[in-house]
Amino acid sequence: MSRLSIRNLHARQGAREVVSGVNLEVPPREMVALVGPNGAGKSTLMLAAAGLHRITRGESRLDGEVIHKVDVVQRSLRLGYLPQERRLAWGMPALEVAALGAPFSTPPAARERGREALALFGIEDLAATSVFALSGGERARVLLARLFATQASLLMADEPVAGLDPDAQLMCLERLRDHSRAGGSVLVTLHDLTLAARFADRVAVLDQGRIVSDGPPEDALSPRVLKTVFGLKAQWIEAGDQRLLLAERA
Amino acid sequence: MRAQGLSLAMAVGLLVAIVLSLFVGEVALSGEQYRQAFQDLASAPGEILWQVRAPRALAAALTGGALGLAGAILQGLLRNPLADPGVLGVSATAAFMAALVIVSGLALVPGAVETAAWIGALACGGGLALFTARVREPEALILFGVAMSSFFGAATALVFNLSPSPIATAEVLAWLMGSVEARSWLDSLWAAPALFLALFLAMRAAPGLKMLTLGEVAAEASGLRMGRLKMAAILGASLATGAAVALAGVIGFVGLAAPHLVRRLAREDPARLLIPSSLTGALILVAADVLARLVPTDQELKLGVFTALIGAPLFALIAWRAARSWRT
Repeated sequence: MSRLSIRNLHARQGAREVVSGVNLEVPPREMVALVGPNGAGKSTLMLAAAGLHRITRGESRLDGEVIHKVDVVQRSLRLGYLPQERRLAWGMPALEVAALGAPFSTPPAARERGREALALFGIEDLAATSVFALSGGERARVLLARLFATQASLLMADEPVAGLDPDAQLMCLERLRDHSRAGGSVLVTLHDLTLAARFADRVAVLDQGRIVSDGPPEDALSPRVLKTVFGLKAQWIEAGDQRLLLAERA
Repeated sequence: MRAQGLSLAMAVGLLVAIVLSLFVGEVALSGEQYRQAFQDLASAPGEILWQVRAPRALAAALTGGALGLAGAILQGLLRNPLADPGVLGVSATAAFMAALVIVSGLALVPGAVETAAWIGALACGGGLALFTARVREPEALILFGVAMSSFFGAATALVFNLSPSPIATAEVLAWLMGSVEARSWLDSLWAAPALFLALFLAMRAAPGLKMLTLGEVAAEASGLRMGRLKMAAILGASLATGAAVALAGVIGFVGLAAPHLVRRLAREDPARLLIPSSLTGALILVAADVLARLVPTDQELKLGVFTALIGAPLFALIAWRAARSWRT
């Protein structure tokens, strides 16, 4: 059974339908990358699938249960969500922010989980620093740590690597991949197609609210799809034991 | 600083301010008279100390405590350091209702003005809750609150305008300027239950306010029931503001300044901030009441005027600092 199962999902932003009949499965031990041009509906799809945005038609199921019928506390224990928006209201210490991933644990247990998650992203030495005093990249890592501190089996991250330096981007995606390798599930939206191709087990391409391609990276990100959806000229090249996607403007 | 340590420091500061306030007044008492006041509560010095100064200090502390709490709740809920009961129109609505009761002659009924202030504050809180159920953006709620504040400010001006009696007009004006002069123990007793209920609601809302630092969507994803949080927070803030207006009239800027003054000490945690902010509000108002009495003027300075004179520049400073943090 898929951990997240999205069937014929429709969702709106205001009067405009931005997600139109999407079907998508996120099984255990799999990292699925959702890619698509700006305005394709990726964030709305992710929010609706997580039960955080109204679904106008269709459904999203978490471990077989319709998402809107899952108790919100239960949902938060099984599904961790990282929004694209990284603005924090208050300059709390990084550890306190990371510990927000475990709101239903006792404060010492939550802090312990926060500390472990900060260490996972190599920023445990910033634990006592106010998030307002951190760089954008450091703050993004704190928020990723908060996501991992949820210890939820399904992690959903909306543009987690935007604004990160290359090393941090790779670290972030490695951690997400590790989570799926360890039995978890990951749904991540990405703009960087080469990173999606490299890290995801499966890639789903969303265009104008519809999935136009879904499968292993090399199939989903075929030169034809990339030409049609992104207007890119692309090819897969051999690089050592890996096959990498090379894309340029057509 | 640990939350308990911060609260304890503020409580000690408040206690010192209250004791100081017992020594300040129109009539200077000698050491002998103070001794007499403690020995014989019904003596003239005893009357001054226990029927004038002490209830006045308590009223100032409760009013400041209520405003400090309301400010901390609203700033946490709206994730905005510029939010306070004044900005959101709760104080203006409560003041309008009180003005209406004074002008209509119902003020002679015991508790009528206080009840009207509460009804006004809760009605405004209800309006804000209804609005927030439909509109998610906190900025929109602030704009709605500003509109409420302007409307009820104008409505109070209309009450002035149409007031049939200059005496009633003067009474309304005195109310609007805010004061804890001549407050009795009974006045505080009226306000205290609402403040404690507000405190209870604030404690219920505290973990949610902390979670909201991530933004509403991430907080909801983390299991926060936003509807319940908003209800508890808005009801708590409205009750506290209603209690403050009922007790002392309109006093601005305490709700805004108190959370800001202890935010860093509370490590910017909106949950940890609630009690220290309430105690700071109480401390500010007791201290301001002492200072207002010390300023040598023919007429005693009204507390609301005094806090506004100090608070307005502080508001500008907060806005400037907040704007700097928004740029990062």
